[in-house]
Amino acid sequence: MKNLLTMLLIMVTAISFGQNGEDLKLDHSVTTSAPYSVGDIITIKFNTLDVNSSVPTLIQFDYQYNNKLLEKIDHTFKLDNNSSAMTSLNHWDGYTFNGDAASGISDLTYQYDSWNAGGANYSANADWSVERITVQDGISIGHAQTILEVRFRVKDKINTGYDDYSQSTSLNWANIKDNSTDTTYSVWAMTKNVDLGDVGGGTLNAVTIKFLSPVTNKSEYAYYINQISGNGSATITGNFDAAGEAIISGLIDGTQYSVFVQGPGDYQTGTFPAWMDDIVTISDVYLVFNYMSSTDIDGNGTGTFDYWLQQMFANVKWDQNSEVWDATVNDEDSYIFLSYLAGTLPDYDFTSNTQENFYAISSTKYGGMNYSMLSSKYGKETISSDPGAIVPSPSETVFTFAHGFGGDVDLSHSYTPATSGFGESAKNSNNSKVKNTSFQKVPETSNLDISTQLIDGKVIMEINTTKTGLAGAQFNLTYDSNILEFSEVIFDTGNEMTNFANHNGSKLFIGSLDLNGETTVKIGTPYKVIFTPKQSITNTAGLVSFGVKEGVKTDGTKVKFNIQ
Amino acid sequence: MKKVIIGLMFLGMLVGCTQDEYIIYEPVTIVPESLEIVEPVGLKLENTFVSDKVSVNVKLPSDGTYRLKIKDIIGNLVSQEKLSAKEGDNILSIYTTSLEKSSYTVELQTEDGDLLGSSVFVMLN
Repeated sequence: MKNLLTMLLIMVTAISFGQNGEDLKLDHSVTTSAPYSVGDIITIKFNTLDVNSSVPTLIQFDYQYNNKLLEKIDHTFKLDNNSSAMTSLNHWDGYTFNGDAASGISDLTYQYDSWNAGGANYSANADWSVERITVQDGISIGHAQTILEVRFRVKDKINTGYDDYSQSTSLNWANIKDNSTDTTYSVWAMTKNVDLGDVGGGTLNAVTIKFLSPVTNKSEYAYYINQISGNGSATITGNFDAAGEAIISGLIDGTQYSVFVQGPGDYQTGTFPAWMDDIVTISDVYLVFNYMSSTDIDGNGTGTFDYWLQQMFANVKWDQNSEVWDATVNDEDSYIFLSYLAGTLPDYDFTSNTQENFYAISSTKYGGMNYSMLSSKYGKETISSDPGAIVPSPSETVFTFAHGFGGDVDLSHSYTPATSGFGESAKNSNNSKVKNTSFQKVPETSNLDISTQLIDGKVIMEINTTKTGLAGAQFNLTYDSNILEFSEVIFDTGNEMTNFANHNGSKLFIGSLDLNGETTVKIGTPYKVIFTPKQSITNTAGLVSFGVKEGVKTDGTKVKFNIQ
Repeated sequence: MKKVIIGLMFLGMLVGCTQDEYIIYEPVTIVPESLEIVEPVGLKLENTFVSDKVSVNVKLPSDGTYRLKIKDIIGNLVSQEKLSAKEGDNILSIYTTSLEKSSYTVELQTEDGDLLGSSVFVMLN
């Protein structure tokens, strides 16, 4: 009895006083009862628990989930006792948190401070998705109430590289304060990681369709599944999850289906996400001009690409005579690319349903030219059967596709084939090696200084570089057109560069390219952009943001600028 | 005699006049309570939730040139201002319309890259 009392006393003491000056705990846990099976929907809730009389008015934390093991369905803020609180959830796919182990990874306040100081950090990792939750109220945000519920579907761990579900979700950092007194609380994780335990295996009711792509925004992509054999039924469609996977139920054993992967956007209205303007850039255009540096008697390019797919993607002009998209690249294609960068190509009318004014340049202007195939057939020069055909069965429930975009000659947003594809047929793969590169697929990085300043009533953006050997450079800028009016770009790139400034609404694409790759961008301040404020301002922070910022070397290697 | 009296009066006026002194005071920065910074240097946002702009106090150790940096989740710089400002409190604005709807970290750095303060903000949809 005495031992029991002593134990209880220790437990009460631990709960009451916490550890290391702890003020409160942040918890997350599964509310759905175990055990779980593949395809089950689970709910994870988040809440705080008071330890030392904390009265927070701001709760902010990051957590991450393994998108190979879980597919997020939706989320709901609860906060029954703080119904007027402001709430926000930000989401990023393809990143993981690298905690600072110095003070224990469960010390979430320490992790926040370390992250701000540059110790703990986020790095690219396709297996994880990060969410940032922010709650702010004018009154204290009560403890032990559910802040947020997130619903997930449990995925099959087969072929994921994960042996178990022990780290399905994880708390990263927390910043919890009483804003009224500027008091920051010490927060520890109650449950750092959620472990789902043993999960039952998948069946034909859970066929997995996945696609390969370097793009992180995979949840914006859609799948279309049409039944081919038997009595064809309606198309099954939906969006992939953050890992580029979809669990499909209701497919029939031994039946043939055709699957197509489509990039994001609405082709009825011609509305596409802004990042699609990052697909075709200066390095794609330079590769096409490089290819066209030698031609045959008909004016078709005879240069070399490393992959047959690049040649396919470089043909952006619809051939009226043959009425097919082929891999014949000529002078006209190269100048269409250049005109695209300069902003002089006509707009396409998505309601016209014709080829007039259409170019296969994946962008917000023309939409996505989707190239989708089973990964075993992707990028082969000869395809003799439906490249999207699958026949699911109990022994085959996972199918992997690959996706690319027309116009993406440097394959920055397209899956890079395992082999060159030249002369290969889909039925006889892996008989060709990738050639020695004419360009480095892995980009170089180079530091760059871009900043805005308020000088004599004008907002001046200077781009300063010390990088030599650039045959071209491109910068996509977005500015606040409510406050600024674009005035001019002052180029100092050298006398022989072809410069462009493509101004569209609040977007500005500027850059240079030497079509022959013989001269290079002058170092120093090659670009100075001048804006005139429409209203009185005292400073310029955030008025101009940077999107694409890249260069291309004379050998075709992409240079990604790291802004200092 | 009349001229003498007038001359004396004029002289008296001159002697009676005092030299005006103009004292130029440095403008005082009024710091709202929500932007007060206790520490000698730092950065403080008026609000964590931001629509199109948010006020920020940057408290500096000395007059000079500093950098206001806006970074995304993995620390990529998405916008940067080179700023000449004075010692002490400086009430400025962070504009967010040009940024994609997300959450960002704003950092105050010296020209040598020393971090003086940082804060996280969230853009309202």
